[in-house]
Amino acid sequence: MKRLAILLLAGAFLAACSNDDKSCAVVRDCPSTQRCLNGKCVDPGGQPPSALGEACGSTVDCASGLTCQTPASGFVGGFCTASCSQPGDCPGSSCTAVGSTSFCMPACTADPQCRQGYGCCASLGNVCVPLAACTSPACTRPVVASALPSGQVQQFGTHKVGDTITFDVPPGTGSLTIVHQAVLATLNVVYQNQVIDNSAVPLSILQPDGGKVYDDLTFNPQSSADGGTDSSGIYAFYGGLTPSTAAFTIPNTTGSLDGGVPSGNWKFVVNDYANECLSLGCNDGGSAENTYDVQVVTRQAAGATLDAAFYIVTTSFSEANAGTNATVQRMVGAFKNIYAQAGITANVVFHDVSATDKARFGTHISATATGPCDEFGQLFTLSGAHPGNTMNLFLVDAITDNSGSGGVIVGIDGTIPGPSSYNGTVASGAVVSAADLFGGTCGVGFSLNCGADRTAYIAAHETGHFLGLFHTTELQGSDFDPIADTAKCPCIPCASATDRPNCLSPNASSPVMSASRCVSGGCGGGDNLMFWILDSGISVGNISPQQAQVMRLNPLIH
Amino acid sequence: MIALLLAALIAAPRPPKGAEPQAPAPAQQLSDEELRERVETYLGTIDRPVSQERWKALGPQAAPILEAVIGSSSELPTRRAMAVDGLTAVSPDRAAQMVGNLARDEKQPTVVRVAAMHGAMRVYPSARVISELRPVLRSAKSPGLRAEAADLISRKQGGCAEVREQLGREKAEHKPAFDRAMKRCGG
Repeated sequence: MKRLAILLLAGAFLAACSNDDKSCAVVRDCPSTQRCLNGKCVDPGGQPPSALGEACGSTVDCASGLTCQTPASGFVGGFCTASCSQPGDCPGSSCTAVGSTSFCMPACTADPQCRQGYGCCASLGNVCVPLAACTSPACTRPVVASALPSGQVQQFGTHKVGDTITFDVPPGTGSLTIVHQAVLATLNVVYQNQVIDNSAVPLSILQPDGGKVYDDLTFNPQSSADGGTDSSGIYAFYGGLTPSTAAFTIPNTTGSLDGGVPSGNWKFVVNDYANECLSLGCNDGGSAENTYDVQVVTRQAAGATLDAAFYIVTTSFSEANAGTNATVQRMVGAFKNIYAQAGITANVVFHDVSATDKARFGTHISATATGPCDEFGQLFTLSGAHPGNTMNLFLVDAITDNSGSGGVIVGIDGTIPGPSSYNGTVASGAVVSAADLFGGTCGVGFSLNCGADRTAYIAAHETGHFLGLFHTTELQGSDFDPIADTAKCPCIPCASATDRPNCLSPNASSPVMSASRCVSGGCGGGDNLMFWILDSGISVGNISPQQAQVMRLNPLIH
Repeated sequence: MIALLLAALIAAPRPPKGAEPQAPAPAQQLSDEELRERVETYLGTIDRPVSQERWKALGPQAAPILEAVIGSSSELPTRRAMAVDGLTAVSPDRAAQMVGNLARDEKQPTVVRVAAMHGAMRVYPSARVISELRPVLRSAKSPGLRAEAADLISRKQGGCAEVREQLGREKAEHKPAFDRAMKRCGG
């Protein structure tokens, strides 16, 4: 025992020595929690007080006029600074947007001049900023408030990844939605040499009885070309691709529709992929410092009304004539009819956007560059001009893959589900091609050969994603939605005889499930609104009762 | 989780968006009927881009079907644009005979012109991309199309000079559309 005590004392002494004696030439030589003072790394709190950009534990550690931005706000090791609104507010430094607030930040010419955890950010004008804040000046990632009544929204403020949040679910709750909004969060991680958007997703979710209903480290529903794997029994399903702004809604599976949302104290852990990288071993991008604004939205019984706002990011028509243009009104009618079959009444309004935004976004949306700072994410922030609980549908001239491999598509959703009631974020809506709107052949009834009907169908499909629905059957016939009452079309029984032997092939010759092969018996779903393609002879926009239930429990539907 | 997402991106197309990385595909032996069905399916995609590898796997026998779609005035513009995409993969030589003209033709729908510009990137050598798309960059009526041309030309050697020159001619309200190209050109 005596020997153990001596060892502990010696250890403590050595540790103290190593902290006190660490020499430094520049601040980057020191741990992020220390300053470099007279050639030594020292803790903040001494004299002279910490200057702009130096470490701090609280504001008393900082020089006069400066406040301490803490690690909980994304400033690793604490950071003495002052808020600002214009360049003149920061003599000798630069007024810089860091997340959604502007601060005085020290100038630099290279990374070694900045503390550990900070980088010299060229795109923000050569200033030391937290690594997560170094984005293009044109990139905004607004943190916004929900448009829902305060009784439905529990706000928890800014939290670091790894924090556990406890929230209350009242009796009679129909659905809950956990919303992450990046305050300071890195954009990408590199895993197995692939650059992946840094998605936010709860690390785990616990019900009031302590039962874990979601664990992102173990969630891995298997693909199944024979349709044998059924994900509908899973309580919570996550589809990925939710960078910066992320909504996680329960219920979104048959399992949770059946199980309901029990009242009491639930818990979840704030998390993103950068945080998971620390345990999974990524090539780059691991961080436990990212911060998110965290809110939880709850709602009671299913709703029946959808407010849709179409943003006109094309020159083919305007808000002024949308109400009287017969083609546009046909599109509105078709959109309403599709949702009527789910028991949802849709109200539609139109909004113009500026000529600058039309030029920037109308032909520029990429099918594959879907990060928050890409045109894709930035387009959705335009919805901030019209706060409300609306489905924001952005009508553009073209959507293509700008990576060089082609790939024209006609719609794309921000995230599944979308951040309902949070207009103005980088995920607040879906993009729909208006290229076909005024084309095609339009008769009396609904037809996908009619451009207006086709555009309505695409808008309805993307709205389905925003409301939490996945494709009933994906391209290869091996992945399916987590809903039990939608017909599926698995590859092995449903592909043609020629194709069937290739059902498990990972190459580009693997079969694709056409709508015409998915029309009856064990090979169905081709007529469903959420089938992966549209086919003018088969697609009619069917919505199953459980799909309707998922949509009507989303906070967007009132 | 990340591993799930990576697996999805590489193998199974679980998320409804994003590219579909593919292993090289052997040529497919499809009957005429199967070929037409496959082309129709690809032209019906909603939010999942059809990769060049998938188109290529159909082989050059798909070219006449796609050319018919591209040339039909009764076809919807997005189907024509997707057909342009497909033609550049199944028959680059035949695509090369039309994508330059389509890209420059003010009478074509915007989406067809955008697809043709992207197709030009795949079927022409660098210098020809610039010469074919320069008229779009300089004189397309749509500022968005000019910006898209700038984005593509900026990827080619010598393209940045063309883009900077055009940026100088653009109105202030249209300059933000050129940010992506200018970022590639070093601001």
